[in-house]
Amino acid sequence: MSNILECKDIVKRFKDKDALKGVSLTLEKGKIYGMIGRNGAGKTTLLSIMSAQSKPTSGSVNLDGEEVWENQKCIDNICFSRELNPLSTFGPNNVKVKELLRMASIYYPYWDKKMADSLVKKFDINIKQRISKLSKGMLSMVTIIIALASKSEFTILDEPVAGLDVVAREQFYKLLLDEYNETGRTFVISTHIIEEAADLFEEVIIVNNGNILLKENTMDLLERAYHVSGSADDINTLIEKYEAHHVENMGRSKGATILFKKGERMESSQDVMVQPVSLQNLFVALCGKE
Amino acid sequence: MDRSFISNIKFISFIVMRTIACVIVFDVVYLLLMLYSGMKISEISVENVYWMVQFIATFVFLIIQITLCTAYQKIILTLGSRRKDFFMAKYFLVFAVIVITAAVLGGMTYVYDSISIVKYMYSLAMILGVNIITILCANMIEKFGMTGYIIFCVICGFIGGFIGGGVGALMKYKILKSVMVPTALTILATVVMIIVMALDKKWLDSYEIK
Repeated sequence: MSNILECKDIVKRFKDKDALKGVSLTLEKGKIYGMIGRNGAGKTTLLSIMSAQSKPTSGSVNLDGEEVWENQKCIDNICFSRELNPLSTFGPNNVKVKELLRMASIYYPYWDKKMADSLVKKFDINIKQRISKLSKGMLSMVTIIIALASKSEFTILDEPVAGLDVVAREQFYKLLLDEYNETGRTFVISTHIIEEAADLFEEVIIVNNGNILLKENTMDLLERAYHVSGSADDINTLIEKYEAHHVENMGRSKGATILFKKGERMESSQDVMVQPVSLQNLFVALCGKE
Repeated sequence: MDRSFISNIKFISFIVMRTIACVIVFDVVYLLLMLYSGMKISEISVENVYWMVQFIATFVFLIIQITLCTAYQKIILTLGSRRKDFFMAKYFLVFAVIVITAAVLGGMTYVYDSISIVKYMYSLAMILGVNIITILCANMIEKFGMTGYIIFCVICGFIGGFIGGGVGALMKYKILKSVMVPTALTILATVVMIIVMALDKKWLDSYEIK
């Protein structure tokens, strides 16, 4: 059974841009990973390569030591549920929801029809409706249904909550946790709605500008990230000592987000206000422009 | 047989069967209208049936439909199919249609003196030629979207016009009535088809899902 999905030195080059610049990443079985990054950071490209839907320019992706590209044994254990496009090559996407679910049942070897049917009912989706006629939220729901009902060991969801209202998002998070608790499947979720999903993520992966900025246990990461504010001189002292991001000047005061190294602690003599920082604010500090 | 290959056969058949069902309904309604307008069943000649089999298999029935499944490659690859299996399933079905159609038309040629071997060889060349054009057009549609589709429709119109009017005019040239010309065309079409299939595989392998 699948245990480790490993990416080694993944480079993906398009005509005018390097989308990924030597990414190495290991995903272990039985965790919920959150992948966050700015638009154009390379998240979808990386997820596409990890799921053998795109070929890297160089580097390799292995599942339990076997390369995933064109490897049916590996592909059977990976599901990458992408955002559905209401447009197709011929114009509006006229595939019906029930046809799409039928296609999914043909291709996914562990497809759970019962679960798919119950999710369709739960989300109140009209399966006779065409993809082009679905709202953005409904498209997200169909994506979620395919991901959950695929029962793939490694299930990747690319912005699954885009377009969902807050009630539907809470439903999704609950469904995900229930499925995770029942099956122990590995989920990789990329999202821009960081604050809501942060509690779900056992590990967070931050992608920035084609590189993995960090990959760490969420709680451990947040335990070493703080926002400090105080007089400019005191903050400047801290900036020189520790890894500081997103420095803000507020008149004679200053603020910054400090990311301590593991085991590092701030000296108690510093006369500054120290506050824990949320994952979202940490992400903005790390990836936002100064 | 590989599970993914069978999945692709199932999927492509599912897509094609929907269109076939529409075509069969159309053909039945058309035939009924013809009979209602006074045509007798005995007026339907062997040549009519030969043409119908060729027309349906090539243009409407299967070859175009199967090859146009290139338009579905994004969704198929997204659902976890290997590119190799999609390619093999598509051409397995295409060649099945070509072989069955060639066998049916060949059988009719053998049984009925009214259908000449020259006509049969031209039929084979046409079937292969249509497949070549459709492979190229399918990739053009995938790359250029609606623009490619419009160009495809123009090409179909041109081919239809050529077959309807141009062929009759050309057949006044005696050389075209010898068996050598259509045989050479069939061999050429086979070679070109192999090249175009290789290109199709190359484009599929380098296809980026966006």
